[in-house]
Amino acid sequence: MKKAITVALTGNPNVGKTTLFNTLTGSRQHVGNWPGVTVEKKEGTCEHAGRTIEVTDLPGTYSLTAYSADEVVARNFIIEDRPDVVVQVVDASNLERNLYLTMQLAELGRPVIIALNMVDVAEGRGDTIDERRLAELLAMPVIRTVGTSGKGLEDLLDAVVAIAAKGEKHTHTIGYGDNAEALISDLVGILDDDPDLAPRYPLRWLAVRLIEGDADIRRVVSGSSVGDAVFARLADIDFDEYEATLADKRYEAIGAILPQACTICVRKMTGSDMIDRVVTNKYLGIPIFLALMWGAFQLTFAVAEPFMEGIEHIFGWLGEGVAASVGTEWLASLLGDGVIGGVGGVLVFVPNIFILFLILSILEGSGYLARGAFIMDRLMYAIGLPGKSFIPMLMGFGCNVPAIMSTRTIEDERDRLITILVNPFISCGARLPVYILFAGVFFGRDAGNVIFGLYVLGILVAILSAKLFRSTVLPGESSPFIMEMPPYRIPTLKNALLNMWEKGSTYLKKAGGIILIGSLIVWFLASFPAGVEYGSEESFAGMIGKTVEPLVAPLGLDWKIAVALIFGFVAKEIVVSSLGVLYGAEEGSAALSDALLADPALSTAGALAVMVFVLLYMPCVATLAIIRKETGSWRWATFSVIYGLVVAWVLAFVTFHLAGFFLGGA
Amino acid sequence: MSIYQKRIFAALLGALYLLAGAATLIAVAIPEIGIIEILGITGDPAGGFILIVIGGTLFYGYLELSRGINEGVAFLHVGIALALVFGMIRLLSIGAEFATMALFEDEMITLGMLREELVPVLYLAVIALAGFIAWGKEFSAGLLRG
Repeated sequence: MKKAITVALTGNPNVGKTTLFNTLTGSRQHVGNWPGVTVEKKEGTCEHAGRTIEVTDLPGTYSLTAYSADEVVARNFIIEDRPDVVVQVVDASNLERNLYLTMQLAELGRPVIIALNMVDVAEGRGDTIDERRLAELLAMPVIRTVGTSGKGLEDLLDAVVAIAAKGEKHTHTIGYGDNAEALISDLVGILDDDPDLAPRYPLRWLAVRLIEGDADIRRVVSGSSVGDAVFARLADIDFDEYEATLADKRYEAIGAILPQACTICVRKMTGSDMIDRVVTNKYLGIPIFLALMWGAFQLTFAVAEPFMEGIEHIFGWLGEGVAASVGTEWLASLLGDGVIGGVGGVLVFVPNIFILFLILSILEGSGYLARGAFIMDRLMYAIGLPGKSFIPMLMGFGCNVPAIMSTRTIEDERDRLITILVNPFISCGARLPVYILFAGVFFGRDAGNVIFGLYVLGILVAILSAKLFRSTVLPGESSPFIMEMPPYRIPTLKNALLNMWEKGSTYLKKAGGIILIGSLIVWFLASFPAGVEYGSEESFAGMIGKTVEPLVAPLGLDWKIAVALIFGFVAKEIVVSSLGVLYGAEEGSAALSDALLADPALSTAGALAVMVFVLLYMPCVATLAIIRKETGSWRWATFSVIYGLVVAWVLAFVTFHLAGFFLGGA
Repeated sequence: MSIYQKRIFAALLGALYLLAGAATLIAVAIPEIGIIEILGITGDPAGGFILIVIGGTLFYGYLELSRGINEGVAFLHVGIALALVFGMIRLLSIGAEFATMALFEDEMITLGMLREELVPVLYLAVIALAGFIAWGKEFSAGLLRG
């Protein structure tokens, strides 16, 4: 059996690598219309012409200079794992910038194929591209592809198999001028004396990186036997000047190629330009952003209503069925209070979660969310963070775990750390059921406004916390924000539904897993010791709750809410399922709503305080684990928990008393 | 269609949205003003804000077009799009509310209920729709699908 062909899929951010990867391998990796969606390499396989092809989707990178963590992942894979073929996905509508990476890839000596993507965009605005001529000039195959439809993928795979069979390496290099070439030649001579380096790295590439002052490569060479000689040769050179000279030479080469292979038309204002002119306007940008976010939450709350009612009815029938058919009292309680009350109480909110994720997918796919970062840049810069930090915040609306992982695109370590630490304040989908339950019960038709207010509060707390961290524990200047705006697109229903399912199904899986387990534990604690009244103060749950109650009593909350909040640390959805179990709700959220409304210990002000506390109080276990992983220390993870608890308690306290003053009930 | 017609449309529709938005916000502060309820305007801070944003966008377009900046047409197009998006949101919300009432609460939907739902963001969107029919193609033609 023939060995599998290994292929690395590389390219600039947001050129359609992941879409191409999904189409090639049948995977369902997340695709977004903004740079930096992929921050880790993803692997998949496909079969073509009797060969197995192992494809690795790398994070987007503008160059092989490796300034940020995700760029290092991409570069190291190509250099150290040595894939048989490197496929560079190129945005045809921005050839000059994309070919800069091509020039650097060519220096690595690996076989390279160009997948010319987004030709539809380029041709739509009147450009013409002669890919045959481009292939001749670059001395590498150039294949037209349309990732979304799969057009050109057969040709691409044919080229991959053919190139892998030949095993030819790319030998074209750029001439960097006499001075640089002399220096490169000297360095290659010195590096060649170390027998360990040549098998691992192309020596010319290593020399080029050294004179460009690449810190990573300097570390590699410093551990080599020729390190001293290399650094002696580099002793009096100006790295910045050489880096600029080499970049100029690469652009000169691109400038010579482009006019021979394509014509660029004079651009007129497109639909994308029109939208950007308005939504990035300095007066209207933020109001429009807030208005659209409000619309998203209004839809989430309103449109889901009939679906929620339907699910409530189903659980109502199930509850009645269990009560009528199960004779054993404890088993009926376990199924009715534990499983139906707990898991059912959470599943009622599935329509809201799916609708919110669908709207966010549409906004993301359209390219609008990327503008969010641009709009907020001025505000973010004022508090000492780059606008780039706003992208992980927006991603946090779905789930904080991938949002924190996406901070890898932030080059400055301190900026990145601050962005990680404030991300748990961004309200993830798991907290939505708590808001819908309490806002629906206590605020009626204003529920949508209350939920929108909570999301805005989360963003404000995140921004103010960032300002606090910047001026205390993590001082420094924020780096300038440069971000390429993706073009606006009318999202395909398929992609939007796929993204919605990808995020929403996690919620369903949780309902059948961790939420079910959590509900059963709460049911056990509410039912024992034997002989106590279910859910009473004498039960284990009551004892735990009563111990913690003094801490939450100033927030207008009683022991039942305290128990739910404790279990919410595992996953925020468990707050609702715990309440469902403790209040003995067997008919989905309708009975739970009635029970909450009838609870004399809970006022409107208290309900508002619960929502604020759940929004801010601490990251869930999964988020805590990813904070530990991304910061490399338990110190920051612990800090995140303690800081979150303090902020949540203080703001819930203020909310309870202010709301009590205006609405009554404090 | 000439720039002049677009300018007039942006001015009129923008002014209507701004007036409705201002009236909605005034109704929040002074709920006793009952007369504007005939136009479906009741105190709703978020609703008022949305109307002001749409009106502001359209009126900004009018101001740019009046100063001879032809790119100001972008504000007209985006203003129309926003008006349609929020009109659609309102329509979907009403549909969901009535569906819940009819399917699960056995309530009859009366003419009075329908009249209560006729708020500015909904009926002004009908005028915006006329603008979309007239100029929508020149806006959406440049957008990509995918």
